[in-house]
This record gives sequence, structure tokens and C-alpha cells, in this order.
Amino acid sequence: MTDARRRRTGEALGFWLLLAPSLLLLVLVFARTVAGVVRMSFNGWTPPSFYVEDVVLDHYVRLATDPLIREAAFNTVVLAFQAALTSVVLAYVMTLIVWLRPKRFRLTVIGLMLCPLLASEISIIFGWWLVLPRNGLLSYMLVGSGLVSEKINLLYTEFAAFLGLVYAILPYSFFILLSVMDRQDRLLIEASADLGASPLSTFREVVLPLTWRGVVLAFSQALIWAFGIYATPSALGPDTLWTMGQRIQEEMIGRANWPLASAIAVAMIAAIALLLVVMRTVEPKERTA
Amino acid sequence: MPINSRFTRRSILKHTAQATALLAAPAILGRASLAGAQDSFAGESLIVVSWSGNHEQSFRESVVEPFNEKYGTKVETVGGWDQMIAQIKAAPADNPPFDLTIADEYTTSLGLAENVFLKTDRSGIKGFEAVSPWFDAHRGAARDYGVPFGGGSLWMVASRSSGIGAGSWKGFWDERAKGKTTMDAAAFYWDLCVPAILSDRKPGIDEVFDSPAEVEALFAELDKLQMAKWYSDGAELANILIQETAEIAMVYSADARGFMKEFGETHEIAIPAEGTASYTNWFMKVRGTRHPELSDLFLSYLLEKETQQRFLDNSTDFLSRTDLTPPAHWPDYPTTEEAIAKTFNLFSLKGWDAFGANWDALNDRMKQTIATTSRG
Repeated sequence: MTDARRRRTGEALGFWLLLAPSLLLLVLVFARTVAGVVRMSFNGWTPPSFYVEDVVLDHYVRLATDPLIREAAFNTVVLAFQAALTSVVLAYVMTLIVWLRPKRFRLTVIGLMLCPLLASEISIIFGWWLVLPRNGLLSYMLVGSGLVSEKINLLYTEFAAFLGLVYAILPYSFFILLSVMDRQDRLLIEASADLGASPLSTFREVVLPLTWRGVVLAFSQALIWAFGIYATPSALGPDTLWTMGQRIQEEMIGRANWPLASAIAVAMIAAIALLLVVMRTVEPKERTA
Repeated sequence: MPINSRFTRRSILKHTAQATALLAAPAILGRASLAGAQDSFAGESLIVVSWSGNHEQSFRESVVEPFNEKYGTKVETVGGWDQMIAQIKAAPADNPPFDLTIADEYTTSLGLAENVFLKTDRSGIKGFEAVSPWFDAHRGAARDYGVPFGGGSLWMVASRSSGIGAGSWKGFWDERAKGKTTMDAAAFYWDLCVPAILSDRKPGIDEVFDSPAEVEALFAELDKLQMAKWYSDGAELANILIQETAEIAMVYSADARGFMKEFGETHEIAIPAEGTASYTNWFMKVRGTRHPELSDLFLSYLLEKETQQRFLDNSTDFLSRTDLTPPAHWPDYPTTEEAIAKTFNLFSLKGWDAFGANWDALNDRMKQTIATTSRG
């Protein structure tokens, strides 16, 4: 064996040894659980039991044919895409400001972005319940400032569900983008300006291409989170905003139909996996200055 | 017989062992001997599930804490709703997540199907003689499992400023209530009970257990409502009332006492004159419990008059004993068999069998009702 080959073998061995503990954990905790959910989705169901050991496709057939499940899927996808896109745009602007401003300012913004992560989803929902209704803080502020003449109700609207989701996923987009932005050299902006580029051209030709990979990553993460969160749209949105998360909860807990709940979960996992594959294909190779 | 032959070393050891065994017998064989229970169970823990929210708090204050004080035990109560049977099923058979669980008819039906409850030997539980026969009457073979502590029901909340009052379920259909009512979006079977109580076609809530085509008449009544919001849990209902989004509401007795304390001055909270729909709260011993004797002692404690009176004074659930004194907050609390039967229309195990067969069709139909009646 040549030295080069020996070195390559050693590096590969080291790589797998380093990876082994987390890989083992993933297989034991996640892969095993997901496999259990997949298996459950093929079981039969006879109420009032949770499931009957069997191998049937009934629940997948129902997924494809039940109009209410299709409506829930549509609502989930639309809401998740809107919230993920908005959160990435907002996070990008905030990250850019943090990246360009002095460190003192940076710490304040990072601290603020950490806040939603320190409180539970339920506590945040209670907060929105105080802010958004007709007799809530926002309504009083708008009337007090003279922007509107009558109290307004934003709670139990699609906008409230959207706002709640964006608030919940914004920190994830922000920190992903910040980690990518921090790796870029700020002198490139000065260099671009020295060469006569306008700020807009600098952003379009320099900053955006360098951070595009972060945008794609942040969007995929935000989308995954938005897909999975069910309490926020349920508690803030209108009565008719049925989502897949709610449907899983309803089937799993309320109806005790574990196979159907599992089939919905498997469909969502498959959708997310497909999305990640697509994202990976459009994700550009890393470009650094 | 010479004296030295009567007390040989062997006979002394034998008698000592027998005496020790005799003294230890209550602890070894009959730890549930109530007289010696204070010592036998001191320090032992037990986990009991009660309904999450106000019920859990009342249960902790009125039952669990006095029990621990009396017996020196470490009983805890944890809140649950629909997930208890799933949790037991998911745990190892010999190590359940709790020892006793509360169970209404739906939970009982699920638990029996999954075989996660232990039968109760009623001869080992004191207090059954004082329990209203109404509790066993609709129970069938399931009466072999658990102890009936009491039950819950639907109550009506009406803002005093609405001028409608909580005296009749008809208030939901009052012109003045349009766009100001709220009911449960998730447990929709209870919503159906309201028009069923008002209907004369069948006794009590029996119409709910009909075929979907016949239940349509109840949906048609719900479709006439204009809901401010269909709530999904007690916290959301409280917020809807605080924000004055709705003025007329259907609430569960588990929460009604808390609402009386919070909204008593501005809202009337009562069981309407037509009676109400109800469920019963049985406490079931979970299979695999490592504290069977302490569980039996706790089940006996649940049927004691003092325990039930303390809980009644602190809640709006009804209790299984008929010799209790109506509390100040519920002066017309039914104490006779006739009054119990007239007031509480049970969503029975049989009813669940009938309703369960049509659940999916009715659930889909309910979503139509929500879509047509909701303003929220």
C-alpha cells in the first residue's frame, strides 16, 4: 500500500469513526421511530382499537380521495410556503443590517431573535391572544395613533395564522443566514463600490450570489418548521383553516386512528424529503470570497 | 412434661418465626388493611390521572393532598384528556406511566378494547353502598372495572349584559345571540347533544346515536347558529369570553367552576332547565401497576363521603354518592335518583358504540356546519 493510499484509508476511517456516534443515535432514535410510523400506516383499523396488525393500503387511498384531507394539505402547503418565504426575506434584511452594523447593535438583534426560542409555542400563542383581538393591544394602539377610527380584530384570521408562523420560524432563518453572511468578507462591498458599482448592483452581483446558498438552506429549514407547526395556525387562524398537523392530532388523539394519522405523517415526511432533494439540486456550490 | 422440654431451642425459634409472620401478615398479605394503612403505605408513591385544567386543580386540592396528609403517601395527580390509553399502550406492560386513570365512557370503551384496565374487586372497596345506582345502570359489563367517582356535564354560560340568561339552551338560537355564540369544534358530539336535548323526537340525547341521515336534523339546527368562534379548548374559550368575542357559550363542568370564579359577576353559569348531556368519571386501575394495594386504598378514599363533599364544594362536577349536601355555588344540585336521571342524560357506552360507527361521516358533516356558521 502506498503512503498516499494509506493516508486516504486513515482519513476515511477517521471520518467514519467521528460520524459513528451521531449516526448510531440517528438510527436508534429517529430511523427506528420513522420505520415504526411507516409500518403503522399500513395497519388496519377497527374502532375503538388503535390499530389492527395487517398490511393494507386503505389509509393511503383515503389520503388521495378524502376531500377534507386534500383541503388540509392545500392549506398547509400554501401557508407554509408563504410563511417560509416571508421569514427568509425578513431574516435576510435583518441579517444584512446586523452584518453591516457595529457589534453593539449585532448583540441586541441576536438577543431579540433568541427571544421566541426561549418561550414555548403555547406561551407565544397566549401573547398573540392579547395583541391581536378587537380589544387587544394592537387594536388600541392603532386607534390611539389615529391610523384607524374603529377597533379592529385580527385574531382568528388567516393573517394571524400567517403572522404567528412567521414569528415562530423567523429565528431559524435568521441564524442560518447570519452564519453564512459572517463567512463573507465585507471588504468586497467596498471593492465593488470602488469599482463604481451602485449599492443595488453590489447587492445583486456580489452579496446575493455569495449568500444564495444560505437563502436556500434557510428557506428549506423554515419550510420544514412551518409544515410541522400545528398549534399556532389552529389557535390564531379561522375555524376553517384545517391543516395536516391538526388532522394528525385529530386522528391520533381524538379518533384513535393511529394508522391514518401515521399515513398522513408519512406523506408529510415524504413531501419534505422530496422538497429537500429538489432544494439540493437548485442549491449552488459554495462560493466564498 | 418437664419444663425444659417445653422450651427447646428449636421450639423457641419456631414460635418466634410464627409470631413474626403473624405480626407481619397485614403488611405482607393484606397491606390494604385500612386500619393499619397509615403505616403500611407511608412514603409510597402513586400517579393518578385527572382531567387537565380546573378539574385537576380541584382534584389535587380536595382529594390528593388530604389523602397524602392522612396516609403519609406521595400520591400525585397529572392532567390528561384523550391520550391516557395511548400512553398506557405505548409503555411497557409491566411499567405503566400511571397507576390509576380517570375514564369517561369514551376512554373506558377504548381502554377495554385495548385491555389496559384491571378488574375491581368491589368487596375490597368501601363505599359502594352509598353510590347512586344510576352509575351502574348504563354500564353493562364495564361495571366490573373501576370506581365511579362522579361525572361531568355541559353547562351554559351567558353574559348578563346579553339579557339571554343560562336558563335554557334555546338561548343559543335567540336573535340577540347571533354572531355571539361559541361551542366546541373538536368534541362536536357534545354540540349535537344541545339540539337533541331540545328536540322532542326521542328522549334525552338519544337522537345523537341515530344514523347520519337522522342526525342531519340536529346539524340543521346547528346550521341556524352564527358562531363568533368554534373553540378548540378551555383556554381558547376563556380568551373568547375575556375578549367579549362571544357572550353565550357551552362549557364543560370540569371548567365551569373556574369560570364561575373568573366570570361569575358578569356571566350567568348554570345547567339549563331542560337538563344536560353528561359523562361519568370512573377511576380505573391500570394493568401492570406496581402499587395495587395503595390503588385500592385510594379508590376507597374516592368513595368516602368527606372526600366527595370536599370535591363537590370545589367543583361543578356531580359526584356518585347521593348523601351529599348541595354546595353554595350549586344550590339545585340533584341529590335524588329521579333528579339525577332527569338532569343528566348520559352519553353511554352503548351510545358510543352507535356514534362511533358513524363518526367519520358525522365529523365530515360537522366541518360543513363549522364552515357555514363560523364568523371566526
